Amino acid sequence: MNENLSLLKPLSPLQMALKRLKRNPIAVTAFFILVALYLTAIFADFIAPYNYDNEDRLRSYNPPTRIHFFDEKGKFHLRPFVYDYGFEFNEFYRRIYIENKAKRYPIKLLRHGDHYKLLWLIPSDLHLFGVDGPARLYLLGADSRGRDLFSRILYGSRISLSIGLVGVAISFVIGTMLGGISGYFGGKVDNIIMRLCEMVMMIPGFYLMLALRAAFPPKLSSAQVYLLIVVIMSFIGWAGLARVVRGMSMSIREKEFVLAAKGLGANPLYIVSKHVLPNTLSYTIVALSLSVPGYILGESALSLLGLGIQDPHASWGNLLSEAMGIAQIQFHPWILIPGFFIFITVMAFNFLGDGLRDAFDPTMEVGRKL
Amino acid sequence: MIVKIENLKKYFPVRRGFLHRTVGWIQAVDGVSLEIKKGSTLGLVGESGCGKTTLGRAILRLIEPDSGEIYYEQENVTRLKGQAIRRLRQNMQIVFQDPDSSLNPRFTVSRIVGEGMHIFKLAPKDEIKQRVKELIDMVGLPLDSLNRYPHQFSGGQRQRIGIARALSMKPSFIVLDEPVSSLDVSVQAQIINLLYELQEKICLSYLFITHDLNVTRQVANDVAVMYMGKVVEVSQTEELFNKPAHPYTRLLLEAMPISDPAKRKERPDVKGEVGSAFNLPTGCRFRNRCPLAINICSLREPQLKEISPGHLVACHHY
Amino acid sequence: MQPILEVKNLKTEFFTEVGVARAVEGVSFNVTKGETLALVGESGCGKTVTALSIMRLVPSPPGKIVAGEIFFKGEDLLGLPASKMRTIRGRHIGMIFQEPMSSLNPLYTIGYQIKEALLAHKRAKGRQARERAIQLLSRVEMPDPKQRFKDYPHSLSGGLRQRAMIAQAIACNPELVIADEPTTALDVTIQAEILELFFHLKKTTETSFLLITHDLGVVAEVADRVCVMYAGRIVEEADVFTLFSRPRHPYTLGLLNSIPARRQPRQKFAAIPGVVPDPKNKPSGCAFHPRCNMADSGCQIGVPALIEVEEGHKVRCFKHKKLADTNDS
Repeated sequence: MNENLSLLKPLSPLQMALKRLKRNPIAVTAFFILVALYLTAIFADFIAPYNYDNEDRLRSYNPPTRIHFFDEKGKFHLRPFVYDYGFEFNEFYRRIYIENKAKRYPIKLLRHGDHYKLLWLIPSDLHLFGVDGPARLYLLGADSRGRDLFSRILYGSRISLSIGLVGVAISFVIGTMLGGISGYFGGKVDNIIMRLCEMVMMIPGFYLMLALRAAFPPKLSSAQVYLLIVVIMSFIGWAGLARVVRGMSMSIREKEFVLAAKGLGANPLYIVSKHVLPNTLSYTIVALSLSVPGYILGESALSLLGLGIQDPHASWGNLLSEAMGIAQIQFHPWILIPGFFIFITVMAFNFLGDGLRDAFDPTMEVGRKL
Repeated sequence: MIVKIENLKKYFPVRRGFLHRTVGWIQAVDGVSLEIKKGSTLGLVGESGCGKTTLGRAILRLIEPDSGEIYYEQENVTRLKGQAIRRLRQNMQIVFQDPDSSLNPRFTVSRIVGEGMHIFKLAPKDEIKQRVKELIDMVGLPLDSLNRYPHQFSGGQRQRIGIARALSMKPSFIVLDEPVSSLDVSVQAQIINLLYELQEKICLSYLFITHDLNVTRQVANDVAVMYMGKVVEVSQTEELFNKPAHPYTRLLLEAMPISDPAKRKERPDVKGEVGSAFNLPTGCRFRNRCPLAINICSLREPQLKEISPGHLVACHHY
Repeated sequence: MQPILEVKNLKTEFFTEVGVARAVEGVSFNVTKGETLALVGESGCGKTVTALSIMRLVPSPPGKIVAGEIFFKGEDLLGLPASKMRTIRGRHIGMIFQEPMSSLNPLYTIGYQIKEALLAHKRAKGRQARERAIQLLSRVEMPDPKQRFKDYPHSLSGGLRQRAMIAQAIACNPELVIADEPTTALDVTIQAEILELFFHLKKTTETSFLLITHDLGVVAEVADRVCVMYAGRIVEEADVFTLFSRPRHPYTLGLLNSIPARRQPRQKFAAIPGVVPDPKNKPSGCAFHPRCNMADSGCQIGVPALIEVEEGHKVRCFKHKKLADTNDS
């Protein structure tokens, strides 16, 4: 190491990994996609033109509203507008929606509409955009009860995106604590914790989820179901993490800096929390970002089967449950759009996780890169 | 006498098979008695696997010895527990061989050096900061090292950080476990100089563990030679180099690389390697390699006896 | 006498994201038949990269041989196609590594691995290969070679493993063996035995050795000639007796003074201050000047040339005369 190094601001190993991550365009893109998704989830009620339960049964399966710039006469309007929709029946008694071009409904920014509480605190009725009634703005079409799919996807993302983070956070706490204790202390403690892990891992995850869900009363509020799903999934998720953290702790335990801390008079809890676990972080961060999709997909699967979040509350999974019939998909293809959001999110987490793994890879020679 | 150990033993179980049954014991340290004088250095020499590292750690009770007694300043510290052992650790410190693994890569230098003082809350935060600065200066590192991470230093500098950490507790006795073995020769010299200076300045006592007899001669007042868990010879340093008594000591001395090509010589034909500590020979542990082995060597294990003042040997030939 | 290996102005650089590391900066030396040349220096001086460059095993990217020629028996190795280079490696140039455990495959017996080397280079067939392998094991003084033939690397001790490595390296009677820190990982008594074996092999074969080491003690034991490297350059070259008795470069002198056996017991000694420079950021002029007690402003500007001060003794220092005067008086 040369003396000039001292002029540079020293970087911790974590900071260096982040620096390397920044050079990976795919991971950075994935990161920003995720940031955008989470921001829209937080501000869902402001961005969505309607509340998740604002329905209009006369507009069942209204296709996505066309947005116009030119009116009937070909005149250009700077402000885009929509027409109200009416419907007729065709020979199979299916509704055919037709634009009623008598009146233009301009899209308004910051329109007053449904009431909600911004950030769960501030009462408001301001929406980012919308149209005045009786016309309705269905950016991504409507569902069977005439609710706006776009709004419901935004509300649903609150559940679907947060369930991954909360679940991962819980299994992270349980997994690293138990893994760290198991690996550091070894012996009987290790034996008990690891056998427990194996028992959890032996049970096929999805069936356990179904069984546990079935063990609870079918009529639970959405909030209760949400909590239940998170707990169930993190109960399954911690075991794999704990096993790997245990292995890493066992090898870190043998490092001389742990012995040195012991020699300085540190107690075991201090050593585990300050020396052992932080050195497993590079692995756990990667493992966690790669396991978030599992939670999202797990919730979707449960909700798809009708065991998760219940109507009228929205999650990406139960939005998709409407798309379970071929006929539905054939006539109203837009109800598959929530699946696209799941796809994007899962991909983004996977790419970010891959990027993190590369960034933390010790073979990249941390010290040389400065 | 600052540290004295008596008949210290540490056996490690050898476990085999599915049920991890104990099938035998490795006698890593098998009845070792040593004394370290105040302000002096005892060199502990031996080949890898002879138990010298285990002994060093057992003295600090980083490994719990199976039996035997450890005295620190006349106080028996073998069975101290809890708060008492934590207090003891302030007086006895250790410096490790591998500066790569002995410093937590996620800690800055100031956190590494100040850790012990924080654990014991030896002083208010500002004072600790000041003391860390003094220590860094004392071991010859630039002050801007404080906020840097171990990977930004060379091997020798990392070893200096390790020494500063040991000094932070103001110990009077330090176990140096091969502190220069992984360093380049020119850096070795710097570190040995530093250890030497510190000893003079703050009257430290060292147990200097090494496999390199040349280094021992440089730093130690007395030398103990270990072979397969036993001390086979103890003596004042120059006496050991000039009049080695035990055949193993002689073998080690002959094996030392020469320092001048003009002194090239035909080497004596000594065959065989350190045996397995798991399958010990009967009688004297060295007899399989010993050119002087006689009948009695396979029957009885030799005990340490004094052949001249302060020179002890465990060999039937004396 | 025609040298068996001739390295001319070799430059090997590593292109990293944060700059170019000039690991080897114009190194030239010869190895003649039957000679043992030691390349000595501290970690990061470029000695291992030089060896890897000769074998054309520099990890690429980021490493690259950017200039120079390497003649092996008159043939430029750097111009050879990869397939031809593979027959040179093992068949004509053997290599011994520091850590035998990581260079022997743990899944095969050592006998099998030596046999493989023979078969791969078509030096023996079938049953004959087995016999030859056992012969090789006894040549490296492996006790009980027939039994050891069937052993796996993990069941051997460090010293025996190193012997197996050496047997593998000399299996095809190579003209040159490159040994990279062959005894560093071993205990003193084992090191002595392995050095003894080297000495023996040197006397009984016409193989040349290129010995890479940081340990001047090892050099004193077996080398004929020595090149001292510092920061990618050879700073002094001489036969081993001259180098130990009349060093003309302050770095060599410092290294010699750092050997514990040459120091006075229980005394401080003149260590070389400072640290080895970062290959990405070397000092200007003579790379040793920041650590040199004889350096003046001239040393910070110009790079000294490697000049011959007596026959076969070359040194790269502006102050070699002054050093000679102070040391010999």
